[in-house]
Amino acid sequence: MKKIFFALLITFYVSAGDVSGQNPVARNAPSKTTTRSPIADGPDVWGVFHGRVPCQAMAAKMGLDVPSDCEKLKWGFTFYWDPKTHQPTTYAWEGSMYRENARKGKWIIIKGTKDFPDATVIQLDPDKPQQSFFLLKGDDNVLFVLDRSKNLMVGGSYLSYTFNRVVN
Amino acid sequence: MKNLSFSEWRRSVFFVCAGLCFTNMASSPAPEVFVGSSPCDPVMRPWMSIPLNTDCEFIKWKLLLFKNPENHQQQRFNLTYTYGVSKPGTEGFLNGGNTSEMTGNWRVLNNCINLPGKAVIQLRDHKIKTPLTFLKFNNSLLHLTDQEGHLMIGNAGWSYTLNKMNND
Repeated sequence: MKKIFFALLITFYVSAGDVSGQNPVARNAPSKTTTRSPIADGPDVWGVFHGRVPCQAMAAKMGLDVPSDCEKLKWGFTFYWDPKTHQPTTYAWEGSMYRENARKGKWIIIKGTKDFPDATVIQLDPDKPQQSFFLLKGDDNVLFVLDRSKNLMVGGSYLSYTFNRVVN
Repeated sequence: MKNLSFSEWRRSVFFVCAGLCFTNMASSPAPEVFVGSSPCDPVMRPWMSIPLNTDCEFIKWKLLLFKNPENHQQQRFNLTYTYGVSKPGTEGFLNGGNTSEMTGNWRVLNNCINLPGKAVIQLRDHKIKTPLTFLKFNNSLLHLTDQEGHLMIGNAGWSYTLNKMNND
């Protein structure tokens, strides 16, 4: 009788474990890419970040000519690094304005802004200061666009200046 | 009791109304208003009381933060949010979406998490078990964090950043 009781008890615990396994708690994790082809992956890739930013204000900051009806810029950044040293190497910037030819160049990590002296900032094209583009690293998964004075850019009710890590 | 003539009565009403309006202006400073659009992923649904079987692609947020006019301390908040499926070619929702509201108290905490940001803002509403927590980067930018204090990760379309509305 005891053996049957223990067998039933063990069966109950195993079943309970299965049930909880079928209801995983939703996690805050990078979303899967919505691009048709897979995004770059592998040891030489630090990360891929996608997002949409307000077109007119962003273009004005960058000195770009855009049509008057341009509402948003859809961009993707791929950051490559040295797989051994984890030092930044090159980037590819794809999407609006760069559909035919991705913008490519070097990137580096610099320290601090006026508001956040300890923050980590990504600088694109450090070798061409007039073209440099700055992103504040919120953490490993979220980046925020900075203007040329390294101030955070403020969006609106539909679009922000934020880029999020995506995965395959 | 003296009977008031019509002109005396009208003058009295005017002064009472003017007094009420002035008192109201003095005691109710304009709230800070933050707006933004975020994904409607499984992490968000329980926090925002969005049923799992409701089609939901994104959430539009409008957060009002009120302060006590006497001591300028944090007081109450009002969060209005609309969720649903994106209406193609617009910034709105198919069939207008569903609108809900949260009200409660808010407070500012020191930024104890290792992220760039001035402070942490916490919203407490009796309807939700856990408070909604935002990292306050500056006076114009908030970003929602998860329960472990990590920045919420958006997707290619939307982010969890709220922007101060007068920059809209």
